[in-house]
Amino acid sequence: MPLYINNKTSVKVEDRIETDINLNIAKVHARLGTSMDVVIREFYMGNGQAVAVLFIDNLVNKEILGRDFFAPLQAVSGKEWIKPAQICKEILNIGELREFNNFTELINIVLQGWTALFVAGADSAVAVEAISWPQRGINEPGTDVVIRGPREGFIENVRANAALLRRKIHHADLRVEELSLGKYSNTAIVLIYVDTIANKQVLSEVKKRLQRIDIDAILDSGYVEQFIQDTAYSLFPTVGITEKPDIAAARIMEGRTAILVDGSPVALTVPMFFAEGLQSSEDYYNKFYYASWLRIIRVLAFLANIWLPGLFVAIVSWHPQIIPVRLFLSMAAAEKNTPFSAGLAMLLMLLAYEILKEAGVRLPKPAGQAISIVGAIIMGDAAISAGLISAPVLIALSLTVTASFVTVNLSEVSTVLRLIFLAAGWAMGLYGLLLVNLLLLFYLSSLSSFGLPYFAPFAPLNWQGLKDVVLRFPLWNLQFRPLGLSLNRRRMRVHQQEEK
Amino acid sequence: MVIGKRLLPVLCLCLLFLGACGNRQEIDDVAVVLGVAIDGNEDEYQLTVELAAPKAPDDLGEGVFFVTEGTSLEQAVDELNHQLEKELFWGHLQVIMIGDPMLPRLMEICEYFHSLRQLATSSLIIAAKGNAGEMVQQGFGQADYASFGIAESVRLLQTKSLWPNLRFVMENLQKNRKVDLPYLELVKIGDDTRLAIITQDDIIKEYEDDDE
Repeated sequence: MPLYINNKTSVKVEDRIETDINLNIAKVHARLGTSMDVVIREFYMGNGQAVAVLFIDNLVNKEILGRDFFAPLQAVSGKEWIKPAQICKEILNIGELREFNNFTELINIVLQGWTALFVAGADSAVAVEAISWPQRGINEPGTDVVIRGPREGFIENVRANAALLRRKIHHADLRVEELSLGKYSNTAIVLIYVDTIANKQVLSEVKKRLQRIDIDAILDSGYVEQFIQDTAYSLFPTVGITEKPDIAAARIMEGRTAILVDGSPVALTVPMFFAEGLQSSEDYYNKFYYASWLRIIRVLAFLANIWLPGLFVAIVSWHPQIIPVRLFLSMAAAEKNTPFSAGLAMLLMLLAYEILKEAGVRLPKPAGQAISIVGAIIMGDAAISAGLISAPVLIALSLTVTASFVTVNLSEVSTVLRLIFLAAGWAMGLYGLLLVNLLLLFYLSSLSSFGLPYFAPFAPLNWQGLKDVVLRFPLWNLQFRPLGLSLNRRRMRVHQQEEK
Repeated sequence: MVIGKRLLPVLCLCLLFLGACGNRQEIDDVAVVLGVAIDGNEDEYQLTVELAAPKAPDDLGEGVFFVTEGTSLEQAVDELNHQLEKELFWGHLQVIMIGDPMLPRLMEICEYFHSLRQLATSSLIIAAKGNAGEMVQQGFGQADYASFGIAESVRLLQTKSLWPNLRFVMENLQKNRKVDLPYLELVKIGDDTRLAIITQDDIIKEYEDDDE
């Protein structure tokens, strides 16, 4: 039995569906213009009843329409006039069917790929879901790459993405709510959460923020992210992102809400804590000691990523006495022939790296490789040979760049922080670095994500939460969900093995 | 922004401490002092300094020696600054060698060096029987820089107490405690003049080449 939903409501005069098919067709032309992909086809059902079909070419599955829509309609026998509701319930045997009496709502759903059927003599129309458009297959995303763990990633189809999550959480309490955003784009936004786990206050805040968005078009989840984040000018991401269903499912199970945006393979998860930037899905698939080791490496890499250029310049320019003497002399010899100070050289090399990185990402793959080679030769060898920069600067930069790939989730903020720390180290030495660190801690502690403290479990300190930040305790020790995300905090019970 | 308003006084307070960092110096713009020898008499100081002259990252080069004079240590150092047209960097000073006649002024000398910005307080203080300037130029061992050789040898051989670095000597002098400085002396071995370390008149080590 196909799903039938009656969407009939009280409507304004101009939004009425007319009983005369020609009037409806004229209204369609008036609303959609003469777009080449708008298909309107009039025909008679098997019982001689006049109907008109409206759909957008290439958004529908013509095979399904031919088999499950046109064929049953033309096979109707008798002379009796059939109501739209009857057509839905007795004749069509297709996925989802809705009956509309609001013309605007009907047009909106047609624009999403549904097929509309106007019935002569009826003041309502039938909408049939036979959506099909070209889409790429589910494959491994470029980010969140793992050695161990699921490889599938989200795609641009929001319904497929919701299904991927549904496949991970087979429970009646999983809620999948849809809304539409964007005055012109009418983009489908899907909220997914577990009703008995999610914090209702946070959830209502998420919905409130989503409903506040008033924009022409939502083309990617990035639009939504920027509109719903807590602080407009926040350096740190307060909305989590992921391209992988297993990560999204894990976050939903912690009490978060996933927001899927049609047309975007990146799902948003809220609220987000700073510590999430240091976590990877693989941490939970590996043994706890190895996962903890990786976490420590990630923390060190994040710190190296933001501190190293500033620390290098601060030490070389302000506190060279703390460098071992022979290394100091070696560095002095290397710096002797370069025209730039250590700070300026580091800044120029960081800019050169950012340019090369951007070029490498945007260019087609073969050209991207060429740029990488040129970049490596220019930055790695020619710049030193020509005496533009010294080898120690390049070594510090290389370590920084390598470390930046370890915490990809925090790459945007790291790029900015790196420059801030460089400026501080260059202008004020180690004192400047300490000062900026202090300010950064203040700032992190002041941030919140959907009303929850962003720097938790460090501030406010929560010992239970610390079991899954820098170290990853054994799974049986992580019995509680992060504080604030859910009122139902216990996520597992550990049963002692019976002694024989 | 509330946090901004709260932080403003903290930031202003922090700015007060900026002076503590001193001035920024690029490592290739300074003259790095590795060793200093102090000779002279009651009226005059003679300063012999060994400066680092690294040639390339894999060739640290050899020391360059400068000798200056002045009625005070400040004057002698100023004179050296004037000659070099570069600021002296004391952060990697290895040894401060003090000639016999200047030992009564040990406290004064220590206080002067202690007051220098960026001074390595781990610098060794060594007494010299005779002319300290000559000894620092003579070096000890086969190290690329004479001061390295002296510092390394003293650290190896000074077993009686802690290494007599500037901080240690200062603390003891301030508490009127006796400080046993290692003595260096030039000795004749065959036709060669060599440097030897002696303490309390007992020769504990003579420098000899490995092949002798």
